Amino acid sequence: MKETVTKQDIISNLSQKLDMPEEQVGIFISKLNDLLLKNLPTNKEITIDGVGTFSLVWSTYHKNTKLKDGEPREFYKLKFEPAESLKSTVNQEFSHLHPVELSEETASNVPLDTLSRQAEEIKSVLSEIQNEETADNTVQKDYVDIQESHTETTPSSIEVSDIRQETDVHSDYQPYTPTTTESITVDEPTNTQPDDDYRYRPDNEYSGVDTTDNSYKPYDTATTTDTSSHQAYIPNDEEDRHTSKYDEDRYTPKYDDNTYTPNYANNRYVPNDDSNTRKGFGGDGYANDDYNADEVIVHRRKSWLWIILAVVVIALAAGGYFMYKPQVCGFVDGLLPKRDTVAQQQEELDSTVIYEPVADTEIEAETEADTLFFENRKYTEYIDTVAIGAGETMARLAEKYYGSRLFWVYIFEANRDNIANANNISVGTRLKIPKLDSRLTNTNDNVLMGKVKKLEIALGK
Amino acid sequence: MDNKELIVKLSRSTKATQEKTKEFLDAFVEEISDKLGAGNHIEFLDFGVLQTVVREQKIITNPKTQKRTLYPPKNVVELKVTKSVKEHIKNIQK
Repeated sequence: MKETVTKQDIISNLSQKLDMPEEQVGIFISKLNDLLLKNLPTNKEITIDGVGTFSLVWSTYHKNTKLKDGEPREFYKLKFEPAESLKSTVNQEFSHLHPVELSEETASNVPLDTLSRQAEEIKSVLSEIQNEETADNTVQKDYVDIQESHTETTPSSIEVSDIRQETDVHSDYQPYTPTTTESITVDEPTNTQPDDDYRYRPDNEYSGVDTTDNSYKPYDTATTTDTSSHQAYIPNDEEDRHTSKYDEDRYTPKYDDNTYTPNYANNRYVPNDDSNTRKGFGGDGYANDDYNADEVIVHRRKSWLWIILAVVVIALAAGGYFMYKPQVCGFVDGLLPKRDTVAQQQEELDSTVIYEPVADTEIEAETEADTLFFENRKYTEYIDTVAIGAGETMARLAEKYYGSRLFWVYIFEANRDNIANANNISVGTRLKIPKLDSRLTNTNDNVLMGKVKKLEIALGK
Repeated sequence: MDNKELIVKLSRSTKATQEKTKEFLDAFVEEISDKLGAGNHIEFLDFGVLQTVVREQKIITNPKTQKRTLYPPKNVVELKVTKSVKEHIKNIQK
């Protein structure tokens, strides 16, 4: 019986051992307890020689654990690992035992108790089997008695274990040997009686195989005692022969040979030509009497034609588009609604000035006027900067600042960094209006005006 | 904290010499081991109860080598901590 030694018992025992009063021992123990509790959070591990190690381990509850109010999910746990000396003193009872490696032989050695139990279970099962076997033996014997009249020889005693030993049971067994010397005529159907061959006796219990021989059905059920050798079976034309409307030519009874042909006995139509197994409308061709393989038309989808047609159409459309693109684009633009705003119309008028294209060559200075034209065209000072609005043009700005629309070229040259296409300036573009010499903006000077026009052409408008 | 540090701190707190505290600790440990060796449970300070538990024999299979070994039974010491100490330790922050 395990007893629980209380704290007071320990104190009293220690006081006796150490010759100290119990109060002092109690103080020692309480101080030790406080010391451990206070120092565990900081040191996380305290060892007492001979007892073990006290440590704090950080652990967590599972995420699905339901916690109480205020309970933390992650917390410290106190773990105690006993010292080796303490382990050995506690385990003295089993210290002499050592781990044993089990081999395959020893692993199969089941304890005796279980073996005995298993033996008893097996005994009961064996007895049940034996009881069933004895019951089967009696049934087999009755079955043999019923068949006595049909067999010439009857076995005297039958045992369950001897069922499959044919030599012991059926001593008059003679294997079947087909004869080829006899001639068979079609017009004389002969009643056949199979030999005393166990294979043709469906109810024979001595057959070790499935005795239900479906391939043979004697048409003359009257049994005879004719034990002659086996004769080939010839079907009766009127009753048994299967004739279809379309396949009279195919149906050729196989009685030219002397071989036994059991298929016809079941009135089963078996076509000789196996190549025509294609199924037409109506599913299985054998079941449908109106089926004629030659008349069946199989429609197969010719999807590859449609694919080729689509590719040709796409190629033609692409070729036509690339060849006649301008006409197509013009046609499409014509279909689209035209712009009706006045400003846009004015812009179009401004931009419809057509000049003959001239090579982009510098106009050389020939006269004084030319030098003036070229030297004074330095855009270093600017009067104003204007943001282009909708419908505004450089020509209008030139007319406003210089007095003539033709002087737009100066504005264009001064803002060439900002303008990509003189005919198409985006709204909001800030243009600097350069300060020019008065001589460059003299509209009465015909020579100057001619130069300006040439400059227009040179800029490629 | 080692045993030495424990002795030093305990002597300071009890205002006794280190030799005496060492004697006390040795006697304390001896008492515990004797009682546990006899198979008894001990109330260890205010922490909880030190008790011996029997681990039954078992067959362990080495998954690598598939060798089976039969391990004998053995007695083991366990500390069953009291509720108050558990909650006190749970509230300690990391």
